[in-house]
Amino acid sequence: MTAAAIGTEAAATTTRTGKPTGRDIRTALGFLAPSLIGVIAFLLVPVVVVIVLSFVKWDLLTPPSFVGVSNYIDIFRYDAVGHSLLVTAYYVLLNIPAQTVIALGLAVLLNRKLPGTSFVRVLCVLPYLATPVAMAVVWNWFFDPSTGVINTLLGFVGIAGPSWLSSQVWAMPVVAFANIWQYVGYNMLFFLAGLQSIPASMYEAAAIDGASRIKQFFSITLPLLRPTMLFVLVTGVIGSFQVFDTVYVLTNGGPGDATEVMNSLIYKSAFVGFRIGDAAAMSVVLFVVILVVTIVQFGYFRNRTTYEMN
Amino acid sequence: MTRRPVSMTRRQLLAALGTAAGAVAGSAALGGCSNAAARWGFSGNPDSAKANLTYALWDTYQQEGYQKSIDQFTAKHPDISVTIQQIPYGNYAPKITASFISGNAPDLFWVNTPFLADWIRQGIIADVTDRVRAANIDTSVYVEGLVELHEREGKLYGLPKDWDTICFYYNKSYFQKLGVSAPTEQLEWNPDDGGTFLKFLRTITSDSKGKTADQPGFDPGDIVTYAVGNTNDPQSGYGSYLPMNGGAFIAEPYAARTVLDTAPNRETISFLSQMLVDEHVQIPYGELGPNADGSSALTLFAQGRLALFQAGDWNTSSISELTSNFEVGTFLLPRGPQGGWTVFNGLTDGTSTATEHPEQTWLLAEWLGGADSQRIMGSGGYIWPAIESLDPLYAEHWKKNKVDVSAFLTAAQGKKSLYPVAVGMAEAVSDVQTALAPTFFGTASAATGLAKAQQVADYRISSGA
Repeated sequence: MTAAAIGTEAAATTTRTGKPTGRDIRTALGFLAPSLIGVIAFLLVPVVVVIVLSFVKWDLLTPPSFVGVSNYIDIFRYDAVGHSLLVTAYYVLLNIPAQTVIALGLAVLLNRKLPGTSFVRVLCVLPYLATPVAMAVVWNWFFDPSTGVINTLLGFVGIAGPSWLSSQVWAMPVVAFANIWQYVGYNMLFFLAGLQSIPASMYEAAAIDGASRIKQFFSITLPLLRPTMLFVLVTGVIGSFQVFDTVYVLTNGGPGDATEVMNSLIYKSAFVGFRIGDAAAMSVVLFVVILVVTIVQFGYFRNRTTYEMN
Repeated sequence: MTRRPVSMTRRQLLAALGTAAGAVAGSAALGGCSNAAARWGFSGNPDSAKANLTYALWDTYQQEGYQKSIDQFTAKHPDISVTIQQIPYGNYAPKITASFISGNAPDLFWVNTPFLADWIRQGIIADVTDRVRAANIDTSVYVEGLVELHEREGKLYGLPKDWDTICFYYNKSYFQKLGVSAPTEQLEWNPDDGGTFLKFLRTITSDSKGKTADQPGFDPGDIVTYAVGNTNDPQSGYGSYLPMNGGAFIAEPYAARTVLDTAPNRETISFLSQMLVDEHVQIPYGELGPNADGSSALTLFAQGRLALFQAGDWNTSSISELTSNFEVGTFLLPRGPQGGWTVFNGLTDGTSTATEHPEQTWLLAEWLGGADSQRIMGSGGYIWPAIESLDPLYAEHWKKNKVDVSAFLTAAQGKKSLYPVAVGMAEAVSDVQTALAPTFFGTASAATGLAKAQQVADYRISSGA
């Protein structure tokens, strides 16, 4: 490379780091416009609108009125948002550990080349392809106290099954069960992909050093799956906090308020009570909770080593 | 060509975003007022000479009857056509409200009492007082109490079409098998020992060996048929029992608060949620649908798991269809320390304030509130006509079909408690059901449930007003 050429490149670099001209910005905006408009119209504007709505009282029919922060006070006093957050957290705690452990276990079992492995993998993913609402209707039949399959089978072995969905103890575990069943295969796919990116040589080396299967799992598999784990946990936790369809069909928040998760409460406030302001305030509260939980998760994983395998 | 440098500070960007958000919210509000669908060309009527009306209702049995009635109406008015829109009851009220927001509301629509106040306040249901006066309609022909159900502050919002009361349907074949006959005199309950009502219920609860709850050797762990399925419902369930013990849901229509959490109500709810369950005569509330709302009660009655079905007369059509394997009779609810009561309710048709055909819509409303239509509906066994002189038609229809429904008429002639009405009541009723569910499921006391129910219901009512 000649000195002149280097000089030109240096000059070009200087221009680029300097103040952009109006033309540059226009060109950039032109190229960014399609996605920028999308982000503004479908992401930013709705978020801003929800935040604005959380400060008004409005039934969508009569004129809205500004009420300050009173929606935020009322939803905690009268709509039991505190209780609903606990119920939602309970659901997340029932759902995420079981779902993650089962998905990981399945992935490890199915991460080998045996006859029929692909078939079993497909079987595991099938529930994810089913429509959650349709499945909830089916679970409703299964868990019916007098005519359902579950209690009939329990009856054969002399156990009188409870009224699952009318029981304040059992309703939430049933909802969680339906969702674990639905999403375990989906999460398994990610773990499977993660497992397949771990070089076999690592296990060979470990085996030569005399590490047991269990030792290998905890010292190689789990640490190397950290990026996958982060993704599965973050998306899973966010999705669980936003659970709605299964709850709506299986229990509609009942019995009492035993399964009244946040999204069920938001739906009822907005589309049964037409209290748009309250529903917006609840959405903001849920958003903040999810944001905090997600930041904590990222923090947890950031403080641990991740391994690049290239 | 001149060029101006484009640069935007973060402050300007935020301002622009704020404006955009405001514009979107503003246009959404405008969309609510004007007929958005029509503006986009989705719901125009090309044949402008003919008024095409939409009539919204929820009951599929009555839909059949109303179709017959409307066929006669349209034959008389060839310039009007009517399409019936059936919406399941569970989603009915939200859907009607939403249809006004989106600008494609039905012209005429069924109104149940708890929805009325909200719809008056939201301005979606028209005041028909002047039209009724102009048409010289004599409102004294209607069963007493109905007109006031559809009134607020002296203004009438629709003509009465039907009425309903709450009684027991009973399984005649099951009674015969047990050798029990339906009570000829009204039974009596009290919160201390349950009275003759509880004694009677024991004689119609039976286990798998055919022993009834009043006999030695009865196995409460193996009950096949329970006597009764009271529900967590202020209309078909506990509602009628509250005034029997001197209590109420709300002291008067449009009161500012409920009167749920009172000593008489605590006694009544304890009797229904505890005593009847402890005595094994009430089916476990867990079998009665979400929050024991009673949605499964009819099925349980048809399956023979319930001897009595405590319900409103609008169930007669579905009962006669579902219970073809046994005969059905009716008798009155028991009377309590303060006498015999029933929740009394009736439906009206609300005329939309957004209709493009107010004259034709009124003609249809007038027809459905009038004698010609109610004669069709009564003699077809679809409803008890609101016009008192036509009531025998309904009873005759069901007599021919071997169901004696006269108990409902007897109840209507006795003491009546109107379905609770207030602004915010639709949501209050649903919240009260949620609050009382733990009480009926036996995990909370009547006092706890009623206190919680009153707190949330009062808030809904006061914040809605």
